Amino acid sequence: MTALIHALEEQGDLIEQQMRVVQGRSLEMVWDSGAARAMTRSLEDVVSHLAAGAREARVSAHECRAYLVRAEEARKMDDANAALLGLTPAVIR
Amino acid sequence: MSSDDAVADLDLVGGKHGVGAKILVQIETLRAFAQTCLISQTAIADGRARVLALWEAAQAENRAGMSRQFVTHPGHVDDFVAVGATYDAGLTELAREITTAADAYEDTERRNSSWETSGYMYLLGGLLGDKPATGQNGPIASLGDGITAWAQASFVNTLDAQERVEQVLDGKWIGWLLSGAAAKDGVNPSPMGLGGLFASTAAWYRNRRADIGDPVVGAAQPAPQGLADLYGTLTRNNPGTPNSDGRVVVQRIPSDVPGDSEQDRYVVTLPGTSDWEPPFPDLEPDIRDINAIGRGLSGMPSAEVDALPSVLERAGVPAGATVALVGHSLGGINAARAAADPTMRSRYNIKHVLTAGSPIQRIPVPEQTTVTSLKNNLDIVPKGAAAPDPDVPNRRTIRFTHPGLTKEFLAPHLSPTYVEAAKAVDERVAQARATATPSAVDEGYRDIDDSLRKDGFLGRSGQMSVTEIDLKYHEQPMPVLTAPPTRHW
Repeated sequence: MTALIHALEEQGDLIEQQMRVVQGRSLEMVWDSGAARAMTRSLEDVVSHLAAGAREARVSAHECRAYLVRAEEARKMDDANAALLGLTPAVIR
Repeated sequence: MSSDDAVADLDLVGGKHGVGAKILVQIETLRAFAQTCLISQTAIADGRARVLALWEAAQAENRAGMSRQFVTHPGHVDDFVAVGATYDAGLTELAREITTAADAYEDTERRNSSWETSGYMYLLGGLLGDKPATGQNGPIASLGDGITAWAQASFVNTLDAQERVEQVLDGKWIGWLLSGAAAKDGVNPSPMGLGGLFASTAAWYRNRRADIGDPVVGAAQPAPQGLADLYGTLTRNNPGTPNSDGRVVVQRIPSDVPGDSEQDRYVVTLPGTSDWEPPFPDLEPDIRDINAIGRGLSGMPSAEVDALPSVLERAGVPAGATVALVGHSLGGINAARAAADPTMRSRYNIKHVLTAGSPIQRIPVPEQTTVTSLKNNLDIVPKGAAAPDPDVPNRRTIRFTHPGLTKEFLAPHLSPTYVEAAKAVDERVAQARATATPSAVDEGYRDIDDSLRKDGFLGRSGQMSVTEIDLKYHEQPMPVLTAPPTRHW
């Protein structure tokens, strides 16, 4: 799970970085015709998808981290319950 | 200068930031952009595959059971994977669109440049009454139709009756020919532009040769610091009056390193048309006449280009020297032709061609030569090529609007108008250098200035020497008729 969280965070950074590369390339150019405007629109679509992708990756990483915290708390509670009942934690789980 | 006379609408086409096809970008940059999209797509997809693999491992770990009370898993990773599919497809599609656009622009370029080589075929087709292939401006039924349409466009549409009569009486018959060419920009009756008409007029003139005058050494001048200095010579050797003795001016910009003459640079300024006389009678023949325009536009040999290697030699330009050719109007046509002339290219490294008000859009120039063209939107002459401004890396067109410094006919075409524009460009270069984030167009002007600076034509500190050489019409002696033998009866 920890490796997944790191991968998701890296992925968020990577997508954002690639989004900047694509935007940077497009800024080198001045678009001024019907065909170019259509291309600009699909570029804008791609950039907004990439932005959404970076956001989703970060939210996923955040959720996974929160999940880990909650799972750890649950594990501690299981251990405490097991100790109270004089059982080994594995039986509770 | 009143505000009406100011240079307006300064704009750049071609070169790094330029285009003719209304997309201010180079084909190579488009291809690089498409490649960037594909690389980004691959990088992100690889990363996403890794996330998926780890996600499956985490789910397996979760199934193994960490806690009785916490068996659900975060659904956001699924959302992330779903969003990923859309940007994957989007990047791939964008790369495909950009590649298609690059192909289309490249194809347009190719078709535009092939017009030049096929131009003569258009003319022949026109003369034979055949219908040549449809060009960008539509088909032309015959040369006769072309001329008729031209005359109608110029006489009927652009001038009132009194002006027409006055211009013909003034001997400015060429004026209506030109105004016809410009009557409707881009909708030209001849697919060859002025070249078609002028190529046919060239046949009416005798094939001329130039006599090369002796070099005249002028006063030394400070080395040029901006475009206006390079174009400035045009107003000196190009009086713009009929039959004036426009001279080829050769300026040597010495190297900043004393004794390193290999780094010397030569600026050769070619004058424009000085003889507008029709072929019959051509009382004061001049090599820079309508014949020369026809030859230059249609790619036939011309007196000035043929003489140029000898002119440079006589002016002391050593073989192998790096040269910039500057020309106004016909001078620009000759400069572009000279840049592609095999003899000139074998002797000199023609690094730059700078033109002002020249219809050179269809004239092919080798890639090694960078062409900078000034084009006044109100000047009908550069519109005469009836072709878009080239969108290739080595050609840049700086467009502007200026009514001209005088009220005379063709005032927007005269060289002083172009020197004003060059000054305006220099100001924009200064602005671009003073700004951290200049506009793309200002960067384009700065690039032009930078390339001239890098090649040693601008920014040197010394004084340049000036040599002027006259090119005169080579008078061919009338054949001497021998008297019949006398009979003695």
